[in-house]
Parts: sequence; structure tokens; C-alpha cells
Amino acid sequence: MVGLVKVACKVEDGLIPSERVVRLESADGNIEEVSVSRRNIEGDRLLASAVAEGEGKILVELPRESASGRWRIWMKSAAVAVG
Amino acid sequence: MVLTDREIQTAIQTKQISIEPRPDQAAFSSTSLDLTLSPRLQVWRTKHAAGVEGNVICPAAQGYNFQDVVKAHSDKLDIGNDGYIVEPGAFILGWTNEDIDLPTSSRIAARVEGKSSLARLGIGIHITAPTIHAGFQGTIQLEICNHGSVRVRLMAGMPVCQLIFEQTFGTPAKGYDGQFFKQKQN
Repeated sequence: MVGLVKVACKVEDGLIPSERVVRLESADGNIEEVSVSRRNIEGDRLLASAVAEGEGKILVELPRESASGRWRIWMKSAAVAVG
Repeated sequence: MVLTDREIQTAIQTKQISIEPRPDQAAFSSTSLDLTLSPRLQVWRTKHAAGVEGNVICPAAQGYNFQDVVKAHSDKLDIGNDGYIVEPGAFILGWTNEDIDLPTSSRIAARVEGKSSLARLGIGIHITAPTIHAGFQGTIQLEICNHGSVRVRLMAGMPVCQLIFEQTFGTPAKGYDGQFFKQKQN
């Protein structure tokens, strides 16, 4: 697996047409909300970067800071596909 | 290291920096590039508005949802031909017209900063969050506040902020295409 990954998420409209709001479920079950450019979305997947991996999980760096203030989130490996 | 106008223009030509629509020559200064205000605003209601006063928002709370907050406490607005008047103490979200792309491999990050022409009237365009990270894509959200005592009219398309581009020292982990991906972090 390389740096660019596609992360499972729910996609909603953002505050402006060029933005989308995505919700990701982290490995520990928290929902993270991120406003991103629509160019960071492919279907129902968020284009992001994998920067490390652990046991059954992958550390993903988001395109922008989440509503809770996080840039990097541990995701379950099953929710992350090679970009 | 801060990029000069010539270096910014070279970076745009070589697609190390992408900006759409392409900025006019007049938008550059020696070490920055002016960006313009999009007509779309999100206006936060005043603290005395119904449903706002007394409310406490906790961004650290489990399940915190910014979209719910912004929908409950602000209103969408399009700047018309007469502009939009920012009242003293008002706080609004705005966006740049320009869509920016800073590919990680370009080793370029940026800072969005205010313009003195607006600052001297009391208008700030960000609230302690000026960093545009390497890898950023999209329009830039502005946190516009009138700290002054006079009403200020904003017009769509007016120069509203400036970008200062900086060269990063090295490439971030996310730009290494997995070089660090095999490192275990728990």
C-alpha cells in the first residue's frame, strides 16, 4: 500500500458548492467530521494519505483538520483502500 | 523561506502551485499574492439572537458536529451588488474565489494573512488559523471579524487577503508515497 488511500466515509454537501462534509468512523468508533474540497472526494470515498500502520489499523492524514481538531486518525484497515 | 513574486509565478507556471482562476499580475506584491472574496458568506447570528444566548458549544465533546452548530447559529448569504456591511463585533465566514492546490511534492506551504487596507478599519480575515498546509486543495475559508468601531462594506471580488508562500524543509510523510508507511505506530 502506498501513501494515497481512499477512505470509506459518508459525504454531505458543504457550506459552499466547492466543499463537501465527510464523516469518518475512526478505529475506536468515534465519528470525525471534516470539511474538504470536493476534489478530495471520489464517490463515497475520501482521498487521503496513509502515514503509518498498526495492528489491523492505518493512520490516515486528513486533507484538512477535523471538527474535533485532529489531522491524523487511526482507521480500521478494512475502511481504507489503496489509492 | 518566503517565496518572492517571481518565484510564485514560476511555481504557478510549472504547476508546483495551482490557482484557479489564474491571478492577474496586479494581484502580486514582492512577497505575497492577493486573493479575492467570494460572494458566499455564512453569517453568525449575534450573541443576543434567539437560540444563541446561553448556548455552550464544546468542540471536544463526543459526537460534536460543527455542521449542526453552523446551521443552527448562522445564515447563508450571497453578497449582492450593494455589498455586505459587516457591523462592529460581527463574525462571518467567507471564502476566497480562488481555488488553491499545493501538491505535497512541491514542498510549498502558505499562510493566509489579512490586508492592511482592511485591518486598519478593524477587519480581520482569520482567527489564529492562518496555516495552509502543504497538500492543501480548495478554496480558503476566512474567519472575518470586525474588531473596529465603524461599519465596513465588503464587496464580492474585492482583494480580501494575501497568501504568503513558504518552502518547506523536506517533504511531509504523506508525500513520501509510503516510505514511512511501514513504520509501526501504536
